[in-house]
Amino acid sequence: MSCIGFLTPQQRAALRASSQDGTPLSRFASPPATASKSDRLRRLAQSPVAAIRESAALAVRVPEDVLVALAADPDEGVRWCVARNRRTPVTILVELAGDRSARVRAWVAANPATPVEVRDRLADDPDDTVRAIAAWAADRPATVEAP
Amino acid sequence: MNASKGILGTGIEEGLLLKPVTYPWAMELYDQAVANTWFPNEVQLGEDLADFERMSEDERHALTFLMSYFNPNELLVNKALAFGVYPYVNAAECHLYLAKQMWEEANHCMSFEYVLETFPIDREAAYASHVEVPSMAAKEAFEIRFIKRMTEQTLDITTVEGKRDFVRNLIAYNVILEGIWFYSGFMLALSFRQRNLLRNFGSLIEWIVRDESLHLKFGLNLILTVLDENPDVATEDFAAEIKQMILDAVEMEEAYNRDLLPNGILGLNADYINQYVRYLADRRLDELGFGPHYGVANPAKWMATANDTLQLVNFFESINTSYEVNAKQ
Repeated sequence: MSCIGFLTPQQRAALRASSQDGTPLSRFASPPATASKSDRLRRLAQSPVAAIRESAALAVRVPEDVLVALAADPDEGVRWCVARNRRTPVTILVELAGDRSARVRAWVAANPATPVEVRDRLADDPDDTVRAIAAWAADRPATVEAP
Repeated sequence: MNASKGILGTGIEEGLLLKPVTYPWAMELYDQAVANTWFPNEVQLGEDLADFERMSEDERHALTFLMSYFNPNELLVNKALAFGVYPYVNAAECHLYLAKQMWEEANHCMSFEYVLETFPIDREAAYASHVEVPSMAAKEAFEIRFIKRMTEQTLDITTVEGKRDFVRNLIAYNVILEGIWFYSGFMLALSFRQRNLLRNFGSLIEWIVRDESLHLKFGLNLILTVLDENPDVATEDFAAEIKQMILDAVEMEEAYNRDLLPNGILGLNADYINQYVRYLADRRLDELGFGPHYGVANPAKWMATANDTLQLVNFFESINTSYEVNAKQ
């Protein structure tokens, strides 16, 4: 909760006034996607700890070669993080649609970037959950692209 | 650090040496938190404005309502950590993690700022959208009582009662607020995904939830370590008190959801969310060693139709469960 009850009347007045203050605080640049950042993600992807490899698989600026490598990771948790990542290339999603783990296939079905024909194949998956998610994804409203 | 002193301790001379690491779980959480590091401007929230323009009044109201679920005043949370947790922990690796957690709370603060500055949401309306409801006031009074104690009172953690107060504070702030109450809001936030709306906002929420799952894991490990190292603290009466705090918190949350969601919002009704709250409470109780109390199934585990909660469940389980599996290995 906001804990607004914690604020004094003066603080609430200042809060009200700040709504009209047009100076944004959040317009700062994120650190740029430098080569060193990519190198760092490649090192994370080689960690012996699966949870660290999962972080690499979910990273916003993860290089494609890292996703390719992690799509073949022995740990299914890492592979389903690749399947979850909305920035994962379609070619990798198509590959993961045939993964031996139903949870990985389920995340492929849920990923909005998964091609329709792949999702339709998952609608006939032997696993109940994968089929249910494919059915849910088929009913999901279409994406409206920003102008 | 002299490991025999335990995880609790005060004094500037303590907790200055990182090696040898006494609590590897803290070091592992630090490593994972660093790996998870993200920044709000890595998503282009402005792209979601196209969605906002075409959202219904109910959906826009839900977004405003949602902003008040989370504590936009993350600086208050940071104060609780800085004054109520950090000073009483004796291990350098725990201080490293707490420092990262405080940065993450600051990052969440700036993320909410980014949302409020991008969407046409009235800031005060967002914060106060339901605080006058009695069930909400009860929740705030409960949290403020503990947060005030954490920030305004100095604990004597050399005493049994001081250590118990430390654990009570963590139960209230970490297990209840961050480990149960927040998830009602996360469920609502992720329901926008069902509508394929606010994808970038959804990414922010996902990242925040991922951070919060590690905060919860740290807090649980800290509580369990304190109890393990201080058997005089962990009496049956105290265990019963802690369990009752959690059960009372579930009742407060259920009353709140019934008051605020009599007709549902974005396809989620109070009964559904409340069953999920009970499921989460059972997980927290189990993690604390009590065993489940409610014995309810996760209502979101099997998704029947147009419902985002399976993704929600898988998301949470992929964060919490996979880490728990790794921790047990």
